[in-house]
Amino acid sequence: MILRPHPEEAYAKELEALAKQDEHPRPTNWKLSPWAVVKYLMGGELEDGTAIEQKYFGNQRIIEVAVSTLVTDRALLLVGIPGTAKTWVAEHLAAAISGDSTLLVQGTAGLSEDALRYGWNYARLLAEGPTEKALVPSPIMHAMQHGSIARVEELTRIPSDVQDTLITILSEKTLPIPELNTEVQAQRGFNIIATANDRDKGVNDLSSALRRRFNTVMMPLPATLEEEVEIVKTRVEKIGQSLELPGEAVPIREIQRLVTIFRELRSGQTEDRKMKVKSPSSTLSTAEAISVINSGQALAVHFGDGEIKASDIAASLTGAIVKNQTQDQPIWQEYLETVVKKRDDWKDLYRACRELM
Amino acid sequence: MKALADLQPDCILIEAPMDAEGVLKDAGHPDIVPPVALLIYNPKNFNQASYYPFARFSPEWQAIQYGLALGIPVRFMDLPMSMMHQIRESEKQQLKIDIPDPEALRAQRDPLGFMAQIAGYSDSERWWEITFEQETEDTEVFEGILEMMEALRSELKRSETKETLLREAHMRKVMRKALKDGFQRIAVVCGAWHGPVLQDIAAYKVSADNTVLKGLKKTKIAATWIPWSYDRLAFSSGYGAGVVSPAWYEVLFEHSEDVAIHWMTRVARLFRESDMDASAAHALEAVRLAQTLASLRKRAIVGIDELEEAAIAIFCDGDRKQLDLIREKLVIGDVIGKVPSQIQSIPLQQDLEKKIKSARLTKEWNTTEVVEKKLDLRKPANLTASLLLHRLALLDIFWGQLLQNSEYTLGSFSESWKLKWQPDFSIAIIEAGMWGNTVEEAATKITQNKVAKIEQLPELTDLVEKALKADLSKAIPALVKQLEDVSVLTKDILHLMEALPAMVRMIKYGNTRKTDVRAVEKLVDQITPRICIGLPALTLNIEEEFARDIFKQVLRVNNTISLLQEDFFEEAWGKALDQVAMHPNANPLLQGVCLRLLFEKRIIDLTKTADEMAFALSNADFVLGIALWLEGFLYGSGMMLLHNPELWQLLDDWVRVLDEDLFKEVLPVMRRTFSSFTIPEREKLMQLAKRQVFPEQRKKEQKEEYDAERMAEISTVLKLFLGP
Repeated sequence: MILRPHPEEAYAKELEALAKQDEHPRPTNWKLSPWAVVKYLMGGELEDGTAIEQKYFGNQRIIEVAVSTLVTDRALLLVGIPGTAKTWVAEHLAAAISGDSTLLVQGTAGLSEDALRYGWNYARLLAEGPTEKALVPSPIMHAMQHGSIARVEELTRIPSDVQDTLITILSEKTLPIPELNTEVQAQRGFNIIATANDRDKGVNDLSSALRRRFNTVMMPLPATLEEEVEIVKTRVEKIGQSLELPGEAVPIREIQRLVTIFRELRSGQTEDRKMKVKSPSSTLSTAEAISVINSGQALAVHFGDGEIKASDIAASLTGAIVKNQTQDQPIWQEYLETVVKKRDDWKDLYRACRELM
Repeated sequence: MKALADLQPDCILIEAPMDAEGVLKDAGHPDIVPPVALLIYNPKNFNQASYYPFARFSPEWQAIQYGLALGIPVRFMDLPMSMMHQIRESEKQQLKIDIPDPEALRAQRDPLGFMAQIAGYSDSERWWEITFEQETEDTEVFEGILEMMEALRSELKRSETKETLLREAHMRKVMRKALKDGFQRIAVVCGAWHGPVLQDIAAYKVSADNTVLKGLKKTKIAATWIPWSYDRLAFSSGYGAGVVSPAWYEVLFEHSEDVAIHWMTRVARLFRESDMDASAAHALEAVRLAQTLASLRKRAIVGIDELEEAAIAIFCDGDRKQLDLIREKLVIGDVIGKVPSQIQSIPLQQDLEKKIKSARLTKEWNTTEVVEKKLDLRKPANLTASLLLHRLALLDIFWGQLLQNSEYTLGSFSESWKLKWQPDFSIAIIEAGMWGNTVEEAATKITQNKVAKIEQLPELTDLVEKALKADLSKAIPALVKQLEDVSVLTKDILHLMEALPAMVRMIKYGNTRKTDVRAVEKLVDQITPRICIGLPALTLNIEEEFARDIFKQVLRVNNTISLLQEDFFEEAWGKALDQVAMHPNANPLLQGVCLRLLFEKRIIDLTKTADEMAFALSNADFVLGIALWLEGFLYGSGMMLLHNPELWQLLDDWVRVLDEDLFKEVLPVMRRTFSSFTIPEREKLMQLAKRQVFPEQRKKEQKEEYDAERMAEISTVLKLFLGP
């Protein structure tokens, strides 16, 4: 039993149904038309009644821009803070367009050019000299040869000089192989989807030459409080099951308060739009809200009476918000005094957080 | 235009109030440049005024120009403004209550919005634009619109307002008149909604229309053209059909062929102006993306939505905020119209003249000499004058210059002004005319407009004070709201400290003026704790120069907080002072002053103060720091030393053990500190020094040595320590 199948396997039925009923024009080497790709991600029902599960919860326009970008020959860069479904969307786009989401390069600080271009099978290289058989193509080279979509995760973590390898690939759509005095020219349908995190510090920003080759789509955080509470709730439930935490039902009230705090600090204003607040340097993504609730639950289950209370989440909440003592501490303190304190039914949370200051 | 040329009309009727027809011919003036507005007002009551803005792309404007150029009679056909004013007055007094079902209600209130929604568009304007205005100028489109409107009107059975019915009746009346005058081919330019009822005027009875129109009294009105701007066009307009994005329509109007290309080129140019990368290649890619998007969405033509999204993905790294930087220029545009001065006389000018008379400033107005004038605000005429001058200043008409001495006199009764009238003020007045018809109204509106753009707190409090002085009570809520927003976002504690005294003044002054300042009070409640929280961090590891800025603000905030008399604030402030005074890395100047304030407030007692002072003076490596500390600690008054011999003794001991070089180093700072004391204080200190020095001969010798050899005449400070 595979822990996590690829989307093209997990949703094979949906893709098949879509391909069958798709009557819109398809770009060369695309498995589906742009219209069907959008449908695949946004979900809905097909004419024959096949239900397509919604993969992306958010604005359809974002997906439309992303798909259109891939139709024109520009590469796509998905940008956003952690926990905004960048990778998820990239994976599904690749699965829907090329039927293959496995052509992946994971960006790290130690990535070498070989990982983006090609490497060598050294035993062969020594025995036979540079031949095509000794060449080990990178996922990107493979995608060029087959006209499919390659993915680069965490593009900004790759050192700048290595990043720039992509320029030739993206602008001239060729990959020279000087050792063999040849080159690989990309087939139609080839493109790259990259993801990057815009909140991290100490990453390698794209050079403007490379930036020009990408269309950037910003992945937003959930638009409304209800939507975000819902996402947190479902995730907490799922994780709770897999961690085998007994506990009570999902603490909906705490989730609401927590998501409210995160949203308010993130957006710089209270949910009722009556007051502005300052934003701390921390990310405060939905994913982090989930982990705060989880650790609160663990505390409550193992050291409390199983019911999650304000004091159970106060510590991890403060930890999630105050990432930088000198900058974030006053902001959090200010928020506690001016917002949390004023809310009548939040008194317990205020006290719990005050104790930790 | 093509429609007009096809029809070859011999008369053009335009949906605009008939009684403004007098100024119609001025629209043909060669120097008039749209956007302009037709201003119709009641000369006796400037609040009864309506603006009818026209941009170059307005069909009405095009029709007028077409008619004037070819010598075809052009007439206005709408209900005269004089009657309209009257109807609006009486409608205000009626109260309407009815609760129909929501779906139908929405359709009735905004039929086009309803249609647009059915067609899957976000708002009616966009739908209208895509469906009709983007199509090339095919006259068939007009027939289509007419049919649709007819259907809508009969389907919905919307109960038209009395005003609409009256207007339509009047329009028919004018059309009949035109027919009677022998015109054959009449072109009517009007809102699409009215189309059906005007199409076949024979279907309506003459007498019915006349009865409806009977009994309306006419008030006298005046009309004129005034310059307008695109942002005002987007902001509000006399009729219901406002234009959200004038610059977009301009591009549509000028380049209907390649809208996307022209639009993207504009985007690129604007980005380049604000120093961002935007090459022609960017624009090209963006146009392609926009076209792909449009086809993915199955739209025949690229709309503004697609263009914007493409621009965001390509120019702005996906960040909408970057587009917002240029959005105003891009979507609204900063075009300002021109109207030659001979054809306008605007109400603001007339109101100003009236006010000048009642303020008894006529003499000063008629001269371009500089005149000084003292105003006693308890006299009504002088108060009017003061308000007028303050308001004009807000309108950037700097007739009077307020002479200094007045920073803290917000509540006082006299003002001195230097007045100089300059001829080019009259242009400024015309410009200001777009903001309102009276000086007060214009000043209020312009202040409200300015407010939104200010993001620096000191600048904002400055404006608030000006508005208070000009007594613009209507602008105050907007100002206070912005003050709230800006102060929350201000990270600079120093700005907050600068603003706090001004806000407290505002509360005190506002109370005497009966302005509602509760919001400011709430704000002070928020800002004060923030200052207290933020101050300690601000004082760590900073340069002397910056410390001096903070020093001044600490004293001002201290006074202000004492003025507020709130225990909670006092407590928080005391805590902040304590943190600064005790923190090893705080600037010594501020450590000193904070300790002093703590002592003055009796938060710490003499023993503790002495301990702290001894500790501060014990740092032998950093003499200059100690001197700064003393400057902070002793600022302004020597009474501290006079009344507390312990402290004096500490200081004395410290000076005594300084060696010569170090003494020279601290001398200037010490001198500056002591020179801020009053002369009697200094004399007393001198006596104290003498008394202490003479009984003990050893000390005297030591000091006299300095005296004789080097320092005798250098400074008062020195003398102070050494005796004569």
